[in-house]
Amino acid sequence: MALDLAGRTWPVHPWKNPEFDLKSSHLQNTEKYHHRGFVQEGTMVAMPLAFPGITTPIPADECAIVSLAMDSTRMVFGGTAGRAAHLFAAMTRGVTGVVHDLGVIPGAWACTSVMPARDRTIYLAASGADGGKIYRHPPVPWPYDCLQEWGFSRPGYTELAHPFADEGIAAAVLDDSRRTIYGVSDRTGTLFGFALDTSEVRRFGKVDAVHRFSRTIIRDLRGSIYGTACNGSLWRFSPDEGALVDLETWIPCAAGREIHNRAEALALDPVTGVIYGSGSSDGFLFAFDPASGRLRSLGKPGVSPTIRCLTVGNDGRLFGICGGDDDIGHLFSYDPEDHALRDLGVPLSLFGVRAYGYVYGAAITGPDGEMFFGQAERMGHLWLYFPAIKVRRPAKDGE
Amino acid sequence: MPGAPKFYEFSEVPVSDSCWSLSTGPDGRIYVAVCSEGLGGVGVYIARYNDEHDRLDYIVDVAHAVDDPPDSGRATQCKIHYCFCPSRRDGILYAATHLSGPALGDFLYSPWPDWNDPRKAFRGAALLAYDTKSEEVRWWDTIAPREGSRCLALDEERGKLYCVTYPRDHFVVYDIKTRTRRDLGRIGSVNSQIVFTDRRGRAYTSSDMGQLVRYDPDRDRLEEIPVYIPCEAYQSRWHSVIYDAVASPEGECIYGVTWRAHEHLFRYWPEEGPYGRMEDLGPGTQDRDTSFPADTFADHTGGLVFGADGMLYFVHARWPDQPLPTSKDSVGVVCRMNPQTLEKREVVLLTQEGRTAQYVSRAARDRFGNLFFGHVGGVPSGMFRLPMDVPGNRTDLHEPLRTWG
Repeated sequence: MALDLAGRTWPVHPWKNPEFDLKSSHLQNTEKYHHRGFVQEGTMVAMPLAFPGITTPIPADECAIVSLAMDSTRMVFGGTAGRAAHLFAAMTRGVTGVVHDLGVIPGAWACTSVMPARDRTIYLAASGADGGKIYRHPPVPWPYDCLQEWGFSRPGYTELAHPFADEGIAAAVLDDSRRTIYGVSDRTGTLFGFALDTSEVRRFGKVDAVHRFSRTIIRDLRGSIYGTACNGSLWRFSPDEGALVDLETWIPCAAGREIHNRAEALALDPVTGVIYGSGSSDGFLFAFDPASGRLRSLGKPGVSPTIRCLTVGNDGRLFGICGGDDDIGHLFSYDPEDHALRDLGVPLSLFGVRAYGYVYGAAITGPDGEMFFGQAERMGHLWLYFPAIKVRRPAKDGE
Repeated sequence: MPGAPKFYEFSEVPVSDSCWSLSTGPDGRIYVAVCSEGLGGVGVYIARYNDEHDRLDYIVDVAHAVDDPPDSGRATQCKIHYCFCPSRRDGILYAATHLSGPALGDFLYSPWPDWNDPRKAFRGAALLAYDTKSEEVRWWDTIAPREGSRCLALDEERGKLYCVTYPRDHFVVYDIKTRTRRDLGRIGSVNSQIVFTDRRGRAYTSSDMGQLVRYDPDRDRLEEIPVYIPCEAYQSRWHSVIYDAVASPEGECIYGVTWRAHEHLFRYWPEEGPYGRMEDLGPGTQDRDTSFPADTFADHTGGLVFGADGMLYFVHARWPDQPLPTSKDSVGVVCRMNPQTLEKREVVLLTQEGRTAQYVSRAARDRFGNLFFGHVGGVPSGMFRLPMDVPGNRTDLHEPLRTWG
C-alpha cells in the first residue's frame, strides 16, 4: 500500500532560515566542524607494520599492538595479540623507517610485555594455549641503509621459563639491576619473579583474592612494583623485602563503582617519579607519588570509560588515548603545571599512511619527546606522535 | 537497443537529494531509496516503480518503520546506501540504513566527534526485512550500532548478510535466522562501496590499498588475499576500493569498477586458483589533467548491470574537451561493453532538463528487461528508466537476481 506523502511538511535547512544571519561570525567556521574532530595539536604519523613498499605487513588479526618498549639504541619493540602473536622491531632513526616482523611467537596469542635489557637482549612475556611463558630474543642489529641496501634476519625465540601452564602472563617488568623479571599471571593474579641468571621462578602470592586485579603493573624509580587489586586498591611489591603490601589507597572512580575499578594503564614520570594511571570503571586519571604515598584524581579526559595507554612526555605532560574496543579513540593530554586536561582529537595520519586510528593498546615516549602509540585493532599501524612545541612568549615588562 | 531514457523525479519527497540505492526486488520490480542526506530531520523512503501505471509508489517510511523518527534529535536514518539485497526464496527485500543526515535543525553531522553523544549520535544502521508479497516490513534490527551500513550482501544459501560499516570500516556478519551480528573487525579507513559474493558463498570487499578482502564462511575467516584492484600507473593503490560490481549472467566472474578519480574497470574470476584472477579492463572515463585532484562526483563510473542481451551496461561521466572534470560540466553516458570482445561503446546520454546526470550509483534490470539507474544529486533527486528493446512478452528477465547492494 502506497504512502500518502502529499500532505507532509518538510523541514527547511538552517541555511535557508530567514531568521538566521548567515554572515554571523558564529557560522564562519562551520566548515571546520568535521576537521576539528581530529588531532588538533602536534602531528601523528602511522607506520605500516612492514618495510613499506617491500614487505607485506604483519597479517590482520595478528597485529593488535599490546606492548611497546625501547632499547638503549632507540629501537622500538612491540608485541602483538590476535590469532598469533608477533614481536616486531620498529626503526625510526638513521636510514631506516622500517618495521621488521621478528616472527610469530610459538603458540602465543598475546605478547603482553616486551622488555629490552641493557645489553639489548629482548625478553618477552607471552600468553597462549600452553599458558604463560618467558622468551628471549637476541639483540636486533641495525640494518645498513634501508633506502638502497639492507640486511635483516629472523633468528627466532628461546623459551626461558614456563611459569604458568594454565594461565597466561598479564604483564611483566624487567629489573635489570637484579637480573629478574617480575610479573603477574592473568587469571589468578599470582605475582612471580624469574631470575635470568639461575632460571629460578619464585612465587610471591596473589595480588588479589578475587581476581579483580589490574592486568598492568609498573616499576617505580626505586624498583618497587605496583598494580591494583579489588576495588582499585593499590598494591606494592618491594623486591628487596620480597613483600607484597596492600597500600589501602584506592584509585578514583565514580562514587560507588569501586567494585568495577582497576588500573587499566600505568605510566611513570621518569623525572618526578610520579605514577600516572587510569581506572577501568569510569576512565578517571590519577597521579600517585610513591615517595609520599599521596594519590590525586585528575578527572576524566573523555567520555569513554576506557584508557588503555598512557605515556609521559619529555616536558612532563601526560598523554594517552581514551576509548575501548567499540570506540573512536581520542588523544588527550594532562599538564601537571596548570592541571589542564585537553582532548586533542581523534588520531589521524596524513603522511605516508592516510588513516584514522581508533583503538590503542600501548604507548611509550622516545628521547626526543616523540611518542609511539600501538594500534590494537584487526589491522593497524604503529603511530608516532610529535607533540606541539610550546610557543615562546615575549617577556612582559618587569618579568 | 535501448530507447530514450526517462527521468522520474522523487516529487513526493521534494527535499530528497540522492538515490544511493536501486535494486531489483524478488518480484522483478524496481525498488529505489529516496534519500535526503543534506537536510536534517528527514528519513529515507523506499519507493517502487509501478510498471503498470508508469510511476513511482512510495511504500516504506523507513525512519518510522524502524522506530527512529526524524525528529528524534539524533542524526537521521537518512539513506539506504548500496544496501538492498533481494531474496528470491522468501520474497524479502533486505535493506540497511546509512548515516550522514543531521538531526532536525542541525547544520551538518559528523560521526567522529558525536560518536559518544547518545543525544546526537546516529543510533545505528537499521536492517529491515520488507516482504514484497505482503507489502509490509516484517521485522527490523540494528546491524551496526552507532554506525552506518555502507554496503550489504546476502548469502541466501547460508542465511547470512555481510555489511561494511561507516565510519569505522568494520566487516559484520549477520545471521538472519538467529538475528545476531558478529563484528569481525576493521578493514581500513576508506570504505569499499560493495560486498559481493561468489558461487561458493565467499564474500569480497576491498582494503584502502586496493587489496581484496575475502570472507570464507566455511573457514570463518576474513583475510586479505594477494589480489589487487587495478589503477592508473601514475597512481598509488591507495583508495582503489571497489565502487560497484555485478556478476556475469552465468556467475563465473565479476565485473567491477573502482571508487576513485580515473577509476578502472576490472573483471575478476574468483574461482581460478586459490585467490582468483584479476583482469584490468582499463579506465572508465576519458583522459584528463592528472595533476588535478578530481573528485568522484565529477569523474565517475557506476551503475553496472547486465542487460537481457548479455551485454554489460554502465554509466560513465563525460565532460567537455577540457582537462579538468567538474560535476557541473559532466554528463552521464550509458555505455555498453561486449563481455566477449570487451569492446566498449557509448549508447545513450542520460539527460533531464536542468540537471546533470553524471553520478549514477546503482542500476538494475526489471522483469521486462528494462534498465533503471539511480542518480545522486539534484533536489528532488530521482532515477532514470531506460527502455530496452526486448523481444517477446517475458516477465522473468530480471533473473539472475543480484543479491548485493
